[in-house]
Amino acid sequence: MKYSLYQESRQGGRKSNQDRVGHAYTSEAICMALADGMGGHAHGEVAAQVLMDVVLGMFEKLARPRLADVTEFLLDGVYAAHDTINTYASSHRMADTPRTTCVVCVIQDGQAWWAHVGDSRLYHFGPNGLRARTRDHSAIQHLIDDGLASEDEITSHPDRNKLYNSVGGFMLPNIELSPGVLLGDGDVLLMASDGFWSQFKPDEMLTTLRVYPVRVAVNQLLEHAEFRAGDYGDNLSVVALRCGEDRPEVDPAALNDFKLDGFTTELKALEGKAAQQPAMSDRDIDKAIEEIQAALLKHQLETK
Amino acid sequence: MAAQIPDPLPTGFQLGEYAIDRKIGGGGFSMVYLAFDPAGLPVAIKEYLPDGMVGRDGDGTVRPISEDKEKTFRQGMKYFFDEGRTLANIRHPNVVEVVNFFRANETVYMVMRYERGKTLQRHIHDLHEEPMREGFVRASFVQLLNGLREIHAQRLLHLDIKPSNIYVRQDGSPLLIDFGAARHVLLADQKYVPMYTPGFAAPEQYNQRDRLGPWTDIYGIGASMYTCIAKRPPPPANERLEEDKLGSAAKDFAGTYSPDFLALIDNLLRLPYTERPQSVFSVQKRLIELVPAHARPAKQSLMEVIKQKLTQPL
Repeated sequence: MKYSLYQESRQGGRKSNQDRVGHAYTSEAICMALADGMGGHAHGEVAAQVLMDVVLGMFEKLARPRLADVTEFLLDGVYAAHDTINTYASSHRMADTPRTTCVVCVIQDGQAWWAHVGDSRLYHFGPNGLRARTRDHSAIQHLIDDGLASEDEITSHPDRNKLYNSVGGFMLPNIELSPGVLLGDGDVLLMASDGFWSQFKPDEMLTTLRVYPVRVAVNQLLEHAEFRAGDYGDNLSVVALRCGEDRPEVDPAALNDFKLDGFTTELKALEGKAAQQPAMSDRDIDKAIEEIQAALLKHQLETK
Repeated sequence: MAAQIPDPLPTGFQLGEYAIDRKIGGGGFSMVYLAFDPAGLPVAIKEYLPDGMVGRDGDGTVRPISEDKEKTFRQGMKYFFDEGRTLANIRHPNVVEVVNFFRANETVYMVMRYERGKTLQRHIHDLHEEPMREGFVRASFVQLLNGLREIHAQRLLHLDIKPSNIYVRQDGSPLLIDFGAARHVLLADQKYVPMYTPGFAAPEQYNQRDRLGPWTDIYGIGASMYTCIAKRPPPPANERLEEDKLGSAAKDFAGTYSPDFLALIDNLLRLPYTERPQSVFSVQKRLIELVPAHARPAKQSLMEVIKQKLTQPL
């Protein structure tokens, strides 16, 4: 299976980065994970890191080279991460249990399955636009579902940061699973933390992803998101995968036009008078540079 | 034997006050990099780096591969300086702008203003089968010839005009680049290293180097315009002198382009230099005066209509 994958996590304006991204793969399966350690509880980065280690570690152990049951793996992985976080908290005598949101996605046999907890999202883009995205486990999503708030309020509503579902903590996470989805050539799966997705409408992500290779597109989107979020913006993380051939690199600066025309300037060997010309000495070189610098300076002064 | 091409400077290399980003072109005589100046602005840096003469150490230093190559390396450097000197004395919107020139890594560097865009060669290539619009070709060359006029006014000849040495900025304005072959005319002690590109070089560049003049660059302009419409350059001038297989653009491309435009190209590509237009200005004039490709009768202005109504005989 051919695919291109790119992941990146940025601190944004925060003092630390509590987001974690990661992926693992075998010859027949890929597992991508993203976790956003929750603020408001201590050591969110610990919870996010433990989830990464547990889920990806389990994938590496079980995918040989395929997973026997993807759904079972997704559930087992996230539950195991939950238990490990709680054990870690009690063995380290932590006053509060660290918590994290997460989204984990497995691709195998040309299909994708994903599981999520909290407000880390997965977007599935096809040739005609957005095919699917995860629903957040947040108070605001409830309000939207009940018709009490609009989709536009998701980034501004006072209840936007209230999550009722997490990995780590007293309550078992309520893991939402997707059915297996067939992937088409060129489809893009994009996983993101709220620091990233809150800055974009899906169409904006799509227009950039359509044009550029995933690496370039994700970087551009991160630049925009970071700029829009301002000096005190949240951590931002993305894992993106494109099925099949990636978009070509189109940076005009990368084009080497020299190779393009078979007609290259020919430099004839030094002959006759030219061949007897003395080679430039170090002094000649310095003198020539001085002369050019003087001409450049003259023009600079003229323009001023 | 294939010439040994030294490695380019690596990404992130600190070259004086400039940070190298990546190689963006070059070959034969030099390498061109995209780099950033201390203010974070992009520049294009050209490094004197002739093929098959030098290698590069781990720290970026350029070393001649043998003692006699060292002599040739230092001789060739003179031509790199000639280009720098030429460009340092020209400020024109249609000529590449040199902003700095310095010595480092045992070789020399020319820093130019970086322009977003692509070469005319790339434009031709990207069109594939689609014909290049006559309006685009004409508008580009009329502007480009402003730059060439400035060069001729400085008593210089470019001598290597071809689509890959014509850069088109994103706003569509063209720019002459690569003055590696440019020469002073009317200098008594001419010591040439003949440098030319087959297909674009005029016949006198092959056999009568004392007859070079503005008409020589005009042949290059004609060959470049021909390449825009034919998607391939004309046959090399030395072959044309023996047996001319070029044919006439006026016949071969009739229908797609206007007859006057094609006749002009044929005229620029005449083999005897005396039969070509003798100055860039006259070429420009003809390009401007050509009837627009899809000329429409000018619409009468409202004032004219009213005037006509009022003055019509009763």
